[in-house]
Amino acid sequence: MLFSRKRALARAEAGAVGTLRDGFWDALGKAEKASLIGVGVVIVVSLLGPVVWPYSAIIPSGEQLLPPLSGGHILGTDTLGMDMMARLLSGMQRSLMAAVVVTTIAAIFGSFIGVMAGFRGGAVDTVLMRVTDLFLAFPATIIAMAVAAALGQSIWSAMAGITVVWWPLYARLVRGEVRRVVALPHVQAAKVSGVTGWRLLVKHVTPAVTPTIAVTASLDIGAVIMTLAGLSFIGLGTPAPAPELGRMASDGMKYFLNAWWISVLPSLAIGLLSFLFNYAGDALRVGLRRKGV
Amino acid sequence: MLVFALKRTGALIVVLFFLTATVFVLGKVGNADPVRTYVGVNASAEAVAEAREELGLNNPVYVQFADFVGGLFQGDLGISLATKRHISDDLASALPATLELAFMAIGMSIVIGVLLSSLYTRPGRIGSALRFVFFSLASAPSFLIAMLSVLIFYKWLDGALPAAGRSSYGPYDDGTGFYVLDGLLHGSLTYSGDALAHLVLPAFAASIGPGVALARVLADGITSSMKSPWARTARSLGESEGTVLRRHALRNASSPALSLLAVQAGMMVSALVVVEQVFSWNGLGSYLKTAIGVGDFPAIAAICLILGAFYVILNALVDVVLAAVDPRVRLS
Amino acid sequence: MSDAPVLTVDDLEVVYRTRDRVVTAVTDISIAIEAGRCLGLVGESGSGKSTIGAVVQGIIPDDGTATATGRVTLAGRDLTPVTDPVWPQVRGRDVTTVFQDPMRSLDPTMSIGSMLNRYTGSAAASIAALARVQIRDAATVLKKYPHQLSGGMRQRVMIALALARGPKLLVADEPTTALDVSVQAEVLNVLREASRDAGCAVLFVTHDLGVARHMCDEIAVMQNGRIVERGPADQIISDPHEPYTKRLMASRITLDTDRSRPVGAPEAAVVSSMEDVLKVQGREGGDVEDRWAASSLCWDDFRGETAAVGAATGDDAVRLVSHVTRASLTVNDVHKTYTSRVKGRKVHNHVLKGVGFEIGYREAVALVGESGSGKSTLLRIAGGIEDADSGAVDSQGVAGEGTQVIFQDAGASLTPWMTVEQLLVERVAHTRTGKDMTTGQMRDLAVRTLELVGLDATIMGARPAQLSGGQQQRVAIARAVVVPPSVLLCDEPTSALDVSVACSVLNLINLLRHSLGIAVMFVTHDLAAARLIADRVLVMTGGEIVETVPAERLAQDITTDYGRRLVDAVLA
Repeated sequence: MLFSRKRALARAEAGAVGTLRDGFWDALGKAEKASLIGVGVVIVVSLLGPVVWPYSAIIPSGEQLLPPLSGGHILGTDTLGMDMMARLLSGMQRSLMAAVVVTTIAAIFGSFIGVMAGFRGGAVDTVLMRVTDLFLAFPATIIAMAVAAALGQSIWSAMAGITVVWWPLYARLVRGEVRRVVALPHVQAAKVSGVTGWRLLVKHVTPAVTPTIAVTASLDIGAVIMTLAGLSFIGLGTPAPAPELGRMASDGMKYFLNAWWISVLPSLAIGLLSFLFNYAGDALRVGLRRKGV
Repeated sequence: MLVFALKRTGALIVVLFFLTATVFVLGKVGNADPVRTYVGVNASAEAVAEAREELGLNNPVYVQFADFVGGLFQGDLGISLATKRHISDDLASALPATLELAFMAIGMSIVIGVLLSSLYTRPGRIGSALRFVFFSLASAPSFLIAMLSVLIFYKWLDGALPAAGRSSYGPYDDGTGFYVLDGLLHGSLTYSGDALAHLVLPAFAASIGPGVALARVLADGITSSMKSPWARTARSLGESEGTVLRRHALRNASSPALSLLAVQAGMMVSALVVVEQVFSWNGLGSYLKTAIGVGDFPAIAAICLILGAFYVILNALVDVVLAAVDPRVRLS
Repeated sequence: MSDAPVLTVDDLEVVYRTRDRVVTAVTDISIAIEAGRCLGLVGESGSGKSTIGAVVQGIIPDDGTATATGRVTLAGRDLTPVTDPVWPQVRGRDVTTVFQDPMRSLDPTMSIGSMLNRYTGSAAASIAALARVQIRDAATVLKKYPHQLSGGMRQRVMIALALARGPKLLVADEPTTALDVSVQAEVLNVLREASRDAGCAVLFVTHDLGVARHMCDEIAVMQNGRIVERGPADQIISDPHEPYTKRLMASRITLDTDRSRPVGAPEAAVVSSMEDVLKVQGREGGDVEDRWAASSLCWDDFRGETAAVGAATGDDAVRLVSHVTRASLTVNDVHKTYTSRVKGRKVHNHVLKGVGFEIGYREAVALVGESGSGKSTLLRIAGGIEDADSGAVDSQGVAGEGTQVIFQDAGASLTPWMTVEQLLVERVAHTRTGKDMTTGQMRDLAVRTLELVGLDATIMGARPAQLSGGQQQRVAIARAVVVPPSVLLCDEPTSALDVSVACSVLNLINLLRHSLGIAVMFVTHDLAAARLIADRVLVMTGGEIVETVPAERLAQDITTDYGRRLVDAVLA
């Protein structure tokens, strides 16, 4: 699936989570542990890989359209003779960093709006949530497309486009969580004890909400990676020779039947990233729930 | 019920208005210079001024917006900067192509979803292996699935299924644009069959994600319904597991599945944009890709509006249908 | 009716295996019920009573890896507990069940008619079935969906469903626990009469001795998975033999309970001072017999020790004012309306319609009413959690520290990630008393207060999740009184607790009230508990106070019809 913002929301709402505690690791099954380790490996490889790998990602280094495992290029070369492995490593790094940036900004901004709306209530809540609902009613990817297209072909435009449609999810989620937590007996008891304002928010409300935000954000990274790749695939990313996985996949389509690897390998890389992050995100949630927190 | 439908329609109109406004504003604040795109980089100053006038860019912004909205009501989506034709004319053949693919894909995702949902809840090793496969498929970008299916069914299986274009024959002159329908209208089952064969791979690639998502929601809904207190009541009244499933669990699991399907169908349209590239499908997606390539923002905006409206309207429809079906929404 | 029992259970044992431990849920259980008779299984939570209810239906709750040994004979059929392949044919025909939760035990997407007709065969038969559970407007009810019916009606529908095919045995698993008291009595009567008419045996599972006596011919009392005592209902209630049953009976609160002394004390134990009481009450676990003790002391005896406690609790902390000029709490003409939207239309729910009363210095007042009476809203307004639409609440009272609230769910009222010390110190820091105190002084005050409520200072560093339910309740109370408020507001503090724990909480509230000299507003649906705590009882219904009665002679002096109904609903 290419675009999965709504699913991310549904997932986040379905699994309201508690706090991370000791013993979390023990609560995980084998597959879940493996997925978390896999994510760790992918992060390390995509951060160090481009530095360590002998070939450049943007300078031709061999014959054109070498198939994988030939001419000293383990994954072959593309139409310009650039090393595919080097391009994939750099591309994964780009995807990962872009997704982390987008998720972080969207989570922080959205959570801020959500906390304001949920904690203040009243008119502030009404206005903020009307705006949020309007954004949520929009078809996310299409607005992201329009924003990115208006800003021009670059990964930054794509990131901006996705951030614009992603924050409302956090606003909704966090607002709901804050309202739920504020209604809990322990917050009411704190109020009765005389605790008000910022101290009430910081000491008694937000500790219950932050794990949910953190888990939701980590669940979202896979979805953001996939959405970014989708935008990039239809031309809303930095053009070649920048090593951008979605664009590499779609540019290679012209040579697809002769040189399948220049399209399929970047697509597989995206699939791998999104799979690992989705699976690890689920593992995180399952682990937290099994811990009963 | 009527009140609800009216309110939902009101909300729909508001959303559509803001959608239009957003797309329009993006066109104004964007980086691209529409005039330069229109006349080319080397045009004279007079040509530029002429083009400004022709595109209505000398009018105040609110007049431009009013013209834009007025045009939409008459089915006029503006002028493409690249082809210099009315976008609505350009889309006349692209829209049916995409819609035909969309219908096929939605149908396939329902079939996939229902079939998979019964496999999904299987206990033990086979079940978890299946869930792993579904999960992997749902995590794969649709263009990857599209590429792999081309490789398998076209390249390696030697053209078992066609992997490019919509038909081996070309369109009828007086056709509706929906090729399968055209074949039936002209009494040519061969033509319809050929069009269907062309639909299979792209529709499959676009329907895997939504199908798996649907399967998960159905399976989760059924599982939680089977654990619910009312299922316990039914068992204590002597109902078998099968009856509890058919009489109670399916009913309760169907509403979330239906609303998910609406969301998925809306999103699938955007997934089609991607799949179309792989299968050289001359629909909205291919048009969009061309428009993005040359910075033709009016064309991009028009497609965003069409896809956006499709999504928003579909969701509103499903909300109303759900309210009509589910007594909890209707009566409480 | 034949004399052969409908149900016999011989030597039953059920063992659950979880990941890391093995729990024996019930062991050595043998029971028998004849047609038309009702056997009550009574016990506190965790006693294993629900497990037996599950076994005789051939279902073990959840998917637990449970094993059961023993023999179950139902309607002449020999069945292996849990695993017998014949169970599916037995269940629903020979045995059916009425569950506790009427809100969720009926499929929300189906009308009552479409559920019931399946088992009765026709709409006419369904109407007759509903008539048997005393639903008069049966034809209308058939068209409705579960969420359109009240809890009592839903439970009647459940009974009609369960009896529709004429089962030999009906399992009733806490069928009225979730209902209002006045509804509870009606539903119990319906259940008893309908099952007698149908000539079916009833296995009645409950934690409530009063309900059991009302319903059952015979009672089996359970503790830790075993039946400790059994006999005719009246004998068990009035003349228990076993120590556990005696204690259970002693912990019961009725409209005749002696109000002047702590409840739940066996005759033997004697304590002489308040320190002794605190020590005994605070102990968790330990011997059942000496956990509760205070036979000769009256509450009034604690007055004399008040000054000593005051001194021990810190100079400024307890400001005992001997000459009182103001009421502790004044509520004047309070109105509250909630507005909600149903199908887009605004619906106004007038929860409080001009409520006014006073609580005097050191006075305890109980607000009694059923759900929807507005009593909890009133408490929330008095506690400052919500604002009234109009009217005034003045709680500055004598000590000037306003109101404090003890919530129904004490565990949930403690912020999970804060330690006991942080919770108590935070409270002190937000009072006038605490303004001039150093952190060290606040800590000392917290420690002394923990001792006051019978807790050890070693739990200062614990988080709520590390405490037992009883300890949580005490910490919540400690926070409320660490700086004594003018009025202590109690929101059904005992309704979620087992009788023995409930009894200890009531004793503690009474003790604090007398020793700290604070006024109490006690909100409850339970007249007996209200009478025990309060000097005066205010009866609330429909957002108004309809009656004020002195607590001592509550049952005799109550005059309004509504009040009488509540008194009658207390099942003694």
